[in-house]
Amino acid sequence: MSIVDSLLLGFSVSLQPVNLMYCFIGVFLGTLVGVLPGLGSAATIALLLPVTYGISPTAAIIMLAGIWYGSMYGGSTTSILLRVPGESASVMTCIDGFEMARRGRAGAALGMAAFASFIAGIVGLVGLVLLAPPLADFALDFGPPEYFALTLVGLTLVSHLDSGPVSKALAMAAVGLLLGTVGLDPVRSQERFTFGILSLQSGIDLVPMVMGLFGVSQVLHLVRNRLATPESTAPLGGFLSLLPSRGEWRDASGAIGRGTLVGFLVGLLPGAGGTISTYVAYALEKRRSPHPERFGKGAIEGVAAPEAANNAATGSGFIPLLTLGLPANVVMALMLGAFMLHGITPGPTLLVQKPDMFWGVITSMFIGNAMLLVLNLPLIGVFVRLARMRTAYLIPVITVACLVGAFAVNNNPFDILVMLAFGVFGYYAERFGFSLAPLVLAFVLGPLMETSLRQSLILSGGNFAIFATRPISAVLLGLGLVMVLLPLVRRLAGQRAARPTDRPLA
Amino acid sequence: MAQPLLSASGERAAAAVLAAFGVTALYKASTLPFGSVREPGSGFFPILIGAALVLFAVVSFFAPSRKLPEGEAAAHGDWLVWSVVIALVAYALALPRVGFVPCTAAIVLILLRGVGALPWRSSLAIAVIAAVACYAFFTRLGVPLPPGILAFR
Repeated sequence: MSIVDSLLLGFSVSLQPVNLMYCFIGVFLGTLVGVLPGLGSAATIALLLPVTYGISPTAAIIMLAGIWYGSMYGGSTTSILLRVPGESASVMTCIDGFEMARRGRAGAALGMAAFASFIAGIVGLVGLVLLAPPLADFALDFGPPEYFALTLVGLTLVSHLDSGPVSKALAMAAVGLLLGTVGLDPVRSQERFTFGILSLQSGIDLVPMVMGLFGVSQVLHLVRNRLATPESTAPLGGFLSLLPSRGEWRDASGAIGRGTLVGFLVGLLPGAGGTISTYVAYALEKRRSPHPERFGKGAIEGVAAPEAANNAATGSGFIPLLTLGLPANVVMALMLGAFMLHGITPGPTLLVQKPDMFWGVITSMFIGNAMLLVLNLPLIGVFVRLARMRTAYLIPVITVACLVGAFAVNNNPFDILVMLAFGVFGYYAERFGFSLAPLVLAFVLGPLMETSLRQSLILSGGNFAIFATRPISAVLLGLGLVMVLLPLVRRLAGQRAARPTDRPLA
Repeated sequence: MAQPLLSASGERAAAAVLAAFGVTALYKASTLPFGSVREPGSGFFPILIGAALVLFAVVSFFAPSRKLPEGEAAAHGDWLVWSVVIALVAYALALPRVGFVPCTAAIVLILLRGVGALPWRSSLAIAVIAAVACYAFFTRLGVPLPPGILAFR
């Protein structure tokens, strides 16, 4: 099937009224979530997973995807106007965006953020359309050794791209892998770590876990440290003030292009995806600018580059999931959960077995991006008011959402207790510098990693050389090793390169 | 996003807890059949990972803590956080018997009045309205929230 036929097939699915409606609900909710600083896209998607039981799998994925890229748009609005990043991926936008707003260019900053997001979002999707089919085809030949290499390299990379010390991230990944072994052994059906609790036999559910780690722990953080009241809103003119001037376009166009490329490439890597890509894109612009001193003082490139990067990263973030069945970040891990709820395993066979779903989801993202461009600009005033919602109201909203969501998975109050346990764990882990993303990814990848390791060893008769003699797994492991060793070598050489993962605003 | 408020002793305590978790996992996994490298059993993977966890936790224990600019000062102590946790645990335990509406109204009231310091009267009004509205909305979506004491029969 040619690309054109595929896209036509996709649009014939995504343009169905039901799917259009779920696409709209998704991007609208995503924008709201992006605006609200307390609630992240991961927690929201976890919350909506049980609700998707009742709708078709295609509509479910379309809606959940909409929440994710919609939140990228929403986050930029409050970053610029209030200096409140609704999402971690819009932290970089605060720096120059808010400065622009203070200098009376709020409209131009918002407009540029929306246009850069849109352009990069579309380019990222084109990359997804062009790369996914050949990659899925290639991955059809993968056996257990290749999958073990992929999961191992993926988890190692996640830990190395993490903002904190590598040892802490690796420890969290190990915790996630262990939590993933709770329940029945995937190979032998032996019970493990269930402590005689019936509800644990089927393993720990992803939904209460994620809602605890990202929802309840957020509530506890808010109970302890209230959010600072945002600084006063910069005045906004009419719709025309949202259009950047010609000079601003000229300054920003290169930044959009480079931001898109950086975002697309970083989004492919396992890890925090969007967030890290914004750091890299911002640092790149600042380094290659002839006037680096303008950054932090309202440079429009400082808005355009990170906004382009995080939206390009959302498109490429889907590639590992749709072609290999491997989630590249926490949101993709939840997306994998959504596929599984409907009895579908994403991976190389998805494109062959369910082309209508595969292309329907992808084309819906083109439509969703267009909706967001239209939706965002006129509603900015509403979003600003929402973002200033007092912490006193935000806390019960998130709490009740989590309680209902956790209960709704299996209609079992036990899941609420599981969620609370993960909430307390996540609260203390974050407070002491242990990131949660490696844990969630490891939890999701764990069963695949264990099964592929054990199958590989059975295949090779206990010889670990199987991972080095199969060419694809050897190349993967080699690449992983290089990426892990490179920073060490560089440090030994005495070159202290600025790490893009250092938190510039904390 | 939440900012980690770092303290060296807290970080060490967290690393120690993870190490203890790893040791417990190793102990529990040692009761499972390990198999052999030729044919790994149920305990094979957990033992590998448990050992890795202990190793990484020990390294984290001795790793220098990150230097970050001071976050906002905590508005409340940990006692308020733990009061909220206890209230939520009570919620989970009471939910099947007492029912969704009274439990949810109670938890929202606690959060608005106790944590948010809103006036009594508006806290109570919001709590009751929110609980009833959520019940109506989610049961219509097909989530069988327990009616509890409000089921007149």
